[in-house]
Amino acid sequence: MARPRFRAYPNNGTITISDGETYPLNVRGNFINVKSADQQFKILLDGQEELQAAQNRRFRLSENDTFNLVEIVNDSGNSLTFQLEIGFGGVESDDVSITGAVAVKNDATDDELQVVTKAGTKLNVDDADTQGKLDDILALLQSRVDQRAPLTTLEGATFVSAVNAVVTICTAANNTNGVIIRTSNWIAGGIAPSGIRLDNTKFINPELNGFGDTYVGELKNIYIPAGVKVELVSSGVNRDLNAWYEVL
Amino acid sequence: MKKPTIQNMPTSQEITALEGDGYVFETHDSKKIVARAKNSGVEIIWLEDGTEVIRDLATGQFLNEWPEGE
Repeated sequence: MARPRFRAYPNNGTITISDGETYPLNVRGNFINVKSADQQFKILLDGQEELQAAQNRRFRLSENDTFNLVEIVNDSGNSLTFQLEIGFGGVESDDVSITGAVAVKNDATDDELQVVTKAGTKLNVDDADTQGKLDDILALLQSRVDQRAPLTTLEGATFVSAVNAVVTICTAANNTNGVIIRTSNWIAGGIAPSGIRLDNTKFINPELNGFGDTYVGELKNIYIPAGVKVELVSSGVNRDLNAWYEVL
Repeated sequence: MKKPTIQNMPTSQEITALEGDGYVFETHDSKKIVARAKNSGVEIIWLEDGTEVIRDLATGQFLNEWPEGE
């Protein structure tokens, strides 16, 4: 029967050694395969040559050279569980294992590196902080879209009216994201202006023309920034005001 | 939502003057409505004697007070 090229050490599974411990194997050979290891560690050959080892790493001496002592040195900082294969010659496969960064240089005319893109693939962000910032950006963009939406529907808007009265559409404190006046009529002239008033003093619409004339108009899609008090003001019994608004 | 406020409570002379100009006051319980406001489905009217009447526009139910809140 032919002698096995290599055998496992330990032969009945893995063994665990503590951090700082050295595990000696009095075995002769010229080939070592790290069959399994949950840490990086060192291998000493005949107490001299020091090799940096990890799972799936293989070592082979030159053809006529051999070692007689293999020492497993655990300097990983953790316990080390491992199993080696040790013998002569070893067995090779076509697998290519690459660890660490790989730099690729393509300067040949008939070689081509292609990037494969996946259409319709959702971008998933694992970092919660980054995802949160993306959500904020999306909300801000949607808010801008809402602000600029043309008057094609009054869906979502609230109706308010006033005759010789003042109706608060939104206080300054509650106006945290802005108010849109979708539509509102206004009346100027005569006794006093009537229309949309901001912060108790400023009317969006014209006030008086100085000639005692009365004129009317309509506001549409006016975005009022956050922090501003918004009221619908009717200055008299013959000043019928209406508005549709949205508090964002 | 904040309760609306009346802008100006007209005097009887002012009411007479307005009617003379052709303005027709609506009435509630035979009293002239001198101011009105609506917001978010609730209406409040002020009558010439200072009385306030509040009602839910959806149900028509009269309310004792304006549903307050900022």
